[in-house]
Amino acid sequence: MKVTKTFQFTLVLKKVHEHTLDLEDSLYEAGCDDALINFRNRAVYLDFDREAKTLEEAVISAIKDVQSSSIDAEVASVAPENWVTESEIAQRLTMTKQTVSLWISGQRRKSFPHPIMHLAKKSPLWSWSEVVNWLFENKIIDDKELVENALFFANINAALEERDGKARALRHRLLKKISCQAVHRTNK
Amino acid sequence: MVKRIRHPNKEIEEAILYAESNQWIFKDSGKSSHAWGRLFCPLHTREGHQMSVWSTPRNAFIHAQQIRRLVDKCKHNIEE
Repeated sequence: MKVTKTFQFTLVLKKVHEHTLDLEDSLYEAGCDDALINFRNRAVYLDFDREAKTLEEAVISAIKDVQSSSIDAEVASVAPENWVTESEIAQRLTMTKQTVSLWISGQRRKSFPHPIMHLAKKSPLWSWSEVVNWLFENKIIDDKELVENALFFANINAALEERDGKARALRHRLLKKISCQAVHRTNK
Repeated sequence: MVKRIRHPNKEIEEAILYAESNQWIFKDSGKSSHAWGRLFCPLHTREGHQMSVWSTPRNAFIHAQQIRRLVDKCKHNIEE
């Protein structure tokens, strides 16, 4: 049998705010007594330290707890987010910015992933799961679980967005169009 | 000034004191049965932090750590 571990993650809630009546009591009774409820920019965050066998089990059970509460709260997203800046990469790995910078520039080791968002801005964003995968392939980290957990965080937010039927329908229609065009091209 | 009632758990009380020593302000929860009260960070704007302290969390030791962690994170943000 697998032993349990404590997993740290944050759920961002929507439809509730700092003045929602009985917010604490209903979340407590729904089983969120292992979370620190906190507020910023009017949003409600739940910082969990949840014991479970896997990260997936921990996060899914926490989302279900929130959904089962008597207040009309919904989970908007799960943090840590998949998009990270160069300094966040260094922070998460507890390595120096200089080391990360050398990887990115290709001066130390080869083919670090490319940033994929905010490219025109001062600090572009990398996909954390791609970075972790690269670290594993380059034997800088040897824990396969880190790779799996990064992949989970990268996809749980997409899954939460897919709960919205309209967004899902639109996405799948776009996806179909994208694949169709590829077929036309090859036919020419 | 009215003195704040001490939290019955030693670790959590120490974490609240740690927050207060970093200029956080404690406010009583009023009639909530599970929340001991809320802590407010020195920044009294929308961007400021607020957190809720449980009376009886699942694990008091971990809850005390959660409180300290947010105080540290907040300090970090002000420095930026």
